[in-house]
Amino acid sequence: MTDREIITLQRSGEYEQAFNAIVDSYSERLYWHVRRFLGSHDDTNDLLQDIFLKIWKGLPSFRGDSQIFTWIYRIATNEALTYLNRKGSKAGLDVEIADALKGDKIDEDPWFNGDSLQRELHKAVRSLPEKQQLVFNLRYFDEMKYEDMSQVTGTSVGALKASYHHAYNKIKERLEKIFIH
Amino acid sequence: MPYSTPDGYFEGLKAGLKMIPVREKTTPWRRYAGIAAAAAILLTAGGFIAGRLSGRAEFSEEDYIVFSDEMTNTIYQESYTDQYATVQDLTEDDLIEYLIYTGVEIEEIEEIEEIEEIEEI
Repeated sequence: MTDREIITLQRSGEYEQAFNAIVDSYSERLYWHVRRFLGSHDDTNDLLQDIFLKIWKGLPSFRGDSQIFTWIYRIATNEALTYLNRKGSKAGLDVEIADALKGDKIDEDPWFNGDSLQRELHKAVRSLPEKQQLVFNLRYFDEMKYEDMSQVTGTSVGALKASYHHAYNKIKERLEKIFIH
Repeated sequence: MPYSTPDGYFEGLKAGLKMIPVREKTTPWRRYAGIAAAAAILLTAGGFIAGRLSGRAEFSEEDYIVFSDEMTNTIYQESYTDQYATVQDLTEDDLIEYLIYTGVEIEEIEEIEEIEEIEEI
């Protein structure tokens, strides 16, 4: 079902049908979006329940000011960031240390099955500060347009481009150190 | 993606997520029924304790008539003006008034009453 058809259902008050269509179209995409952030399958699975509960509760009040897909991604992204902040503050970790440790967790992940280059790429991405990580994931993996990213993150296109450039250079530098020198 | 998931994970995930509307539709009923049940327990316990403290374990039929007359004259005034009203002051009518005041539909209240009647049976 297309986004337009989902909105038609939502506008006619068929919320349950619209919600089920969102589940069919977006659950897998959102899973990977959140998984790249959190790393852990179990954490991602738990958080998806909260994300879709928010989508269900917010569906009647969705006014169509933005595209439905940016609205859904915004909910998922906010939930993921809140979850990470909560987890970090619970552990009492300094932000930079927490960012660095996140990358190393890939080594303990039983569901990671990439080669050494992919492993190092994902470790590098996950050791970025959260905002840069978000921008990099949306652009590089989800191939999202900057205009759409702007709606999801509430950040200007210019700032997103600068952030992506910064993240890209950090990752490149880190991978070059490992694989070239 | 270099990440994997357990076999059949996405099928199970979708089925589970589609249950959210069903769960959310039934949850308010349970909540209101729970509130009504808790209030009924508190009223019974409050009445019993009040009876014990005043040294009167039982009321006569005449007492009930006097009390009910007084309650109809005063309970509405008290419930809206006295924000520190104690649990013992609450009646079933108060609970219904409260549910209506907080936006619960009449049909929902009737359904709660039906549930309570079934439970009593």
